Amino acid sequence: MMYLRFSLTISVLILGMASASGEVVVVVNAHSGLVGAKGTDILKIFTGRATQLNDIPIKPVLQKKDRSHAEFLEKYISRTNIQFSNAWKKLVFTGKASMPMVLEDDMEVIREILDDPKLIGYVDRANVGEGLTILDMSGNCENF
Amino acid sequence: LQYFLATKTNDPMELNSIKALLIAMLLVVSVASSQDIDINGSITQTFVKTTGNQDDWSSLSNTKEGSFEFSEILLGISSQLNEKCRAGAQLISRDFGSLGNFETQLDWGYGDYRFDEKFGLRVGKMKLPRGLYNETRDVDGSRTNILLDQGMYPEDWRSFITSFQGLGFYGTFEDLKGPWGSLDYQIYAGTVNIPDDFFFVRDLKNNIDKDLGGLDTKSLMGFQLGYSPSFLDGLKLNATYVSWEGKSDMYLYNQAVNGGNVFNTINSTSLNEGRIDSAMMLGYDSYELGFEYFWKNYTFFGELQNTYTRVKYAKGVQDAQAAYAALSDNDKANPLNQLVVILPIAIDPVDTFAYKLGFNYQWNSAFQTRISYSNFKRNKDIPDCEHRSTLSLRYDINYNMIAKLEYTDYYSDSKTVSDDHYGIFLARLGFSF
Repeated sequence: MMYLRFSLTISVLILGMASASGEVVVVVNAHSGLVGAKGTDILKIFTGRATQLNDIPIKPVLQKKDRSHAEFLEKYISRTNIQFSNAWKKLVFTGKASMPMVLEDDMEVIREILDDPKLIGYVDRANVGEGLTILDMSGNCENF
Repeated sequence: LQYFLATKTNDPMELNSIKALLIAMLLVVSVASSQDIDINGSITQTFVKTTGNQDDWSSLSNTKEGSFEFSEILLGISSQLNEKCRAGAQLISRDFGSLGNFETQLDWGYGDYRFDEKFGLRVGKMKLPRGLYNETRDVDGSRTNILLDQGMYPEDWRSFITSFQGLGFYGTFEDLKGPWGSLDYQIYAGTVNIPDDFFFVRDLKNNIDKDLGGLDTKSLMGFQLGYSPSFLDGLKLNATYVSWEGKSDMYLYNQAVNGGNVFNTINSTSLNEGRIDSAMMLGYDSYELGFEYFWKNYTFFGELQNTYTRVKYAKGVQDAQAAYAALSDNDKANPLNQLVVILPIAIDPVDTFAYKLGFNYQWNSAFQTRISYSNFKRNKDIPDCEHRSTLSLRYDINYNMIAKLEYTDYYSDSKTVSDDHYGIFLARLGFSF
C-alpha cells in the first residue's frame, strides 16, 4: 500500500496535549536485535545521523505529546523543541534525511513498534509492556 | 504544480527538462508503492525597505521605495530507498529583483549511498558546504533571521554559490573515545553552472560592447569539517574551504579584429576566428571558521571568512594591454582599440575578510530573538569596514507558518559608497510543510 507521508507534520508537537506522568524511556521491539545501544546511539538516530546500528536498520518515531517530547529532548538530545525541529528542517530541505513519523501518543508508539521491529520511540515507563525493550543511556537493556 | 509548469523560463530546453523532472518525480510517487516518499516545500514572501541607497544588491535597487520583489518557493521529494540508500530532488523558484524572476531551477537532486557511518557517497547536484549556513540558506524555517549576513553570504552571489554538481564523500567519526567527541567531514569536487543573471556575468555583458562568451567553471573542490567535543556538550566547531576556478572566452567584432595595432597584437598570439579562448581565468579560494554553541534556550554563534578572488588574463590580452598602453592618446580614444581594454580594467583581484558574532534566544515554543554584529572588509588591506548590526524576531504562528521581522543598521567607514549609514527593514511571512 502506498504510504505517502508529508514531511514535517511535527507541527502537532507544539499543539499536543500533556497527559500522564512518570519517566520517559526509549523503547524498541524486543525482537529488534538492538542490544547495547547507548545514549550516543540514541542521539544519532533521533538527529538523523544514523539509519542503522550494528547493521540493524532503525527508524525513529516522535510523539505529538508535548510533555513526553520535551522530556525526551531534554534527557537524550539536549535541545529545545525549536532547536530540534530546526535541525530536522535543515536535513529534510537539503535531502539528507527523511522526517520521522509523528505519532499521537504512547499507545500508538507502542502499537507501531510492536508491529515494526525497525522502529525506535519514547514512551512513559508506566506504559511499557510485553514485547518491548527499554534502552538506557549506558547501553543497558530492560526486557518486558 | 501548475505554478511550476507555468514557469517563466524562456529557455525551451530548460523548461522541458524541468517538466520532465516534475513528471519523473510524480511517477516516482505513483509507482513507489513500497517506499516511504517525503514531500517538502516552502513559500516565503518578503518585503524589504531601506532608509538609504544601498550598494549590497545591484539586482534589487529600488529598496528605498520598498519592494516585494523577494520571494521564494521550494518543492522537494525524497525517499529513503533502504537503510543505506536515499535519493531525492528539490526545485527552487525565486525572485530577487532582477535575479531569478521565478524561473524554476533544480536546487538539488542527488543519490546518496552510505556504506557505513564513516563513509558515504553522493552524486548529482548538492548544496555547497561553505561556512555554517550556506547549505541551509534556502531553509527559511530553520533560522530566526531573514537574510544571512551579506558580507559572508551575499544575496547577489546566491545562484552561484548555493549548489554544485559532482561527487561528494562524507562521514562521521562518532566513536572517538575520551574527550575527543565526534568529527563530521565532507569532501567534494565538481562544477557549477553559472546562470546569466549572476551579477558578474550580467555586468560583463552589460558593460562590455562585445558578445561575451559567458563564464564557465573549470574546477570546483572543497571540504567541510565539523567537530563536536564531548567535553562541552552543545558546542560545534566548523571549518570549510572552497576553491573555484572559471574561465571566460572573449569575442570581438569582426571590425575589431581588423582594427588597429592592439588587435594585431592579439591576432599574432591567440585570436581564433574572432574569439580569444580562455581570455580571462578567474577564481576564488574561500576559508571559513565558525562555531555554534547550544546552551539552554540560547544559541551562540560566530564565523570568520577570508575569500581571495584572483584574476589572470591570457597572454594575448596581456599583449593587447601593453600595446594599448603604448598607443598615443588619439589612438587610445579610438573605440576599436578600447574594446579590448575594458575587460581587464573592470576586474581586480580582491581579498575580502569578514567576521560575525551573535546569539539567538528562544523565549518560548513560538517566539525567538536573534542579535548579531558583523564586520566586512571588501579589501582586507584597506582599513575601511562595513558594519552590520541586526535584530531579528521570529514568531511561529504554528509549525507550518512563520512570521519574521528584521532590522539591520548598516554603517560603512568608506565614503565612496552610495550611502554610508542606513537601515534595512525586512518583513517575511513563510509557509512550509
